[in-house]
Amino acid sequence: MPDLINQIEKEITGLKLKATRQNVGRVTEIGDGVARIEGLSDVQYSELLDFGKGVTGLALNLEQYNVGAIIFGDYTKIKEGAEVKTTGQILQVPVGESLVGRVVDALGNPIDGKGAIKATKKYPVEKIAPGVITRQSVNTPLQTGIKAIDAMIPIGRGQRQLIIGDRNTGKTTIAIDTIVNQKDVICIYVAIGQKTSKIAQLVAKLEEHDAMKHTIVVAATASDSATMQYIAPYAGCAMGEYFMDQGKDALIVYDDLSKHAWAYRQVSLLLRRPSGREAYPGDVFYLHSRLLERAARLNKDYGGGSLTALPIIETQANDVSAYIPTNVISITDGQIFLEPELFFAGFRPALNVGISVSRVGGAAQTKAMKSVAGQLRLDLAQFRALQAFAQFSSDLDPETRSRIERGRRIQEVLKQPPYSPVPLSEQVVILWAVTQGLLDEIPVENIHNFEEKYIANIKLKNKKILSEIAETKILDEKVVKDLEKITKEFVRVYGKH
Amino acid sequence: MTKKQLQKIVKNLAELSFKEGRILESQVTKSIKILKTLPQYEAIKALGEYLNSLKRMERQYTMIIETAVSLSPAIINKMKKIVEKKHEITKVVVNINPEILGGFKLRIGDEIYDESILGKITQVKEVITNAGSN
Repeated sequence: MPDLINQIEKEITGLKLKATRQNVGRVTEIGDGVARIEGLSDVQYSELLDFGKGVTGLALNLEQYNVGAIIFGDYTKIKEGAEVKTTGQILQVPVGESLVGRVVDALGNPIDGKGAIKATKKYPVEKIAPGVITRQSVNTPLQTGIKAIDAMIPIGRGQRQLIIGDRNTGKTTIAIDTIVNQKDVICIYVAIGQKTSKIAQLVAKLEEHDAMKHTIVVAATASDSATMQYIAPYAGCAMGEYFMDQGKDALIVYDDLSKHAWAYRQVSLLLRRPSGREAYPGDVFYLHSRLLERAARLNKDYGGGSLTALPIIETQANDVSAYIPTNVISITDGQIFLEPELFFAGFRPALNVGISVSRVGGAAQTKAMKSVAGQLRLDLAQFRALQAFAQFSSDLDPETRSRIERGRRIQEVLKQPPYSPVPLSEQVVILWAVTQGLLDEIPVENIHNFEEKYIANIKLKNKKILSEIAETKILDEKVVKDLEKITKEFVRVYGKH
Repeated sequence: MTKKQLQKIVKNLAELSFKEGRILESQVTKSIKILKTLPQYEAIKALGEYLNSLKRMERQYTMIIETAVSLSPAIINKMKKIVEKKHEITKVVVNINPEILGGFKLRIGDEIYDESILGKITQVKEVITNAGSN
């Protein structure tokens, strides 16, 4: 307390009070978080405006005599005729370590009841994405802990990987699993237009799995204004960029960009901007492209940090060819496509490996995983091609039958309950075993049980193998020989019980 | 008539009704007569826009002084002369507002020059708030 008083005294002593010059305007229209202001002749695009009573806004439409602005905070406090001042500043949010573990709103104000955030730095919400010179190719994997993704749709640090699917297909679960699996990566989860109860559940889940200690949650709930929902992903991105600039790795989840596009459509229509397809404004592509371009992997000269983006898009009736999904698909470096049919058939995560793709993640995949993933993809592709004949199993030739049976076992291995990420070494071991056909003798319904016991057995008796794979990230001949011996022995013992 | 054509007519009439920082009454009467000949729905809109344009133009030449106590005509004249070095002023309005505590606020068009006690207290408040939050 005395320190604070001394600091205040010091600041006041050196203070020189001057006459101020301000550019002002008058509110002529207000409603739904958007205001029209007459005057403000000196205002700049995207400049922060002061509406008084602690309410701020952002100038977005500059016309001859009027300015269209979006308002942050409680716009019901503002009345027609109220004075508005320019500030000469752009919108900034607090960034830094002090935000980690906290739940904040789109302006970086805490909403978790844990007190004020002591952030020493602020970053602009809108920022130009890192240029070509500052970047390097994706070369380090970002392990999600989900076997199907890490093996077949690998994500690299700095990549933008879209998670797309209908409602209730497990999109958020994949994102949360990925956050739970991180150890050295700071995660930012941006909730856009979601129910407050869902966000509360999600935070509780993250706390339960000890993941909040490396996570920031930026929440613009369904009850927040469209302007807050519009700005939330950019605010979250600014928070992530801080860690990237510090040479650290960060992960940001935008849940979801469909609602973000809706919020922007609402804001644009209220600002009387011309509407285009599906009533979205003409710059809806740029809305998402400028956001996702900010995800990058910087080269060593610029600190070597990275910001990986996992945008989520909710489709309607599985229609990936709609306006916003196609836009975001074209911007991102790949997509994880989730299908309700698979979800309700019990295949969880319900990802369709046929149309899911990672365009750059392969370069970041570890050698150990690469060596098993190739065979896995091939076996699954063959299984999918032969699946239609599965019902005629008695009439099939032994080769086809064995391929179908192998495929079934692979599918079982790829099933994974939520919030239970699997470490890389364990993923490699079980996927190696199933692709080598060593699990062909195990009944399909017992595969999950077998996997649990098999991994437990290796952890207990041959932990060295797991630690060797984890360290070297290679599946060398010696390890393969040892694994073959251990697996065959365990399958024999398991079969007896 | 399209919206753009109507706006152009209104803009031209407003410019004709305003000369050297002053509203020309005779021209305003003529302009209103012209606008009244338009179909009723267009006339209402055009008249509203015309009056707004005139107000906007007049504001650029009006100096509004806000003080806590009343000022003598000599001081007002002195202030006007100083301001006229930068802006052309044709109208001076003085508002008494005890809430600014002392000093004065000067408004010309969209510009406000704040030399009030309240403004200075606000500056101190901002410094204290920033010192406390850092």
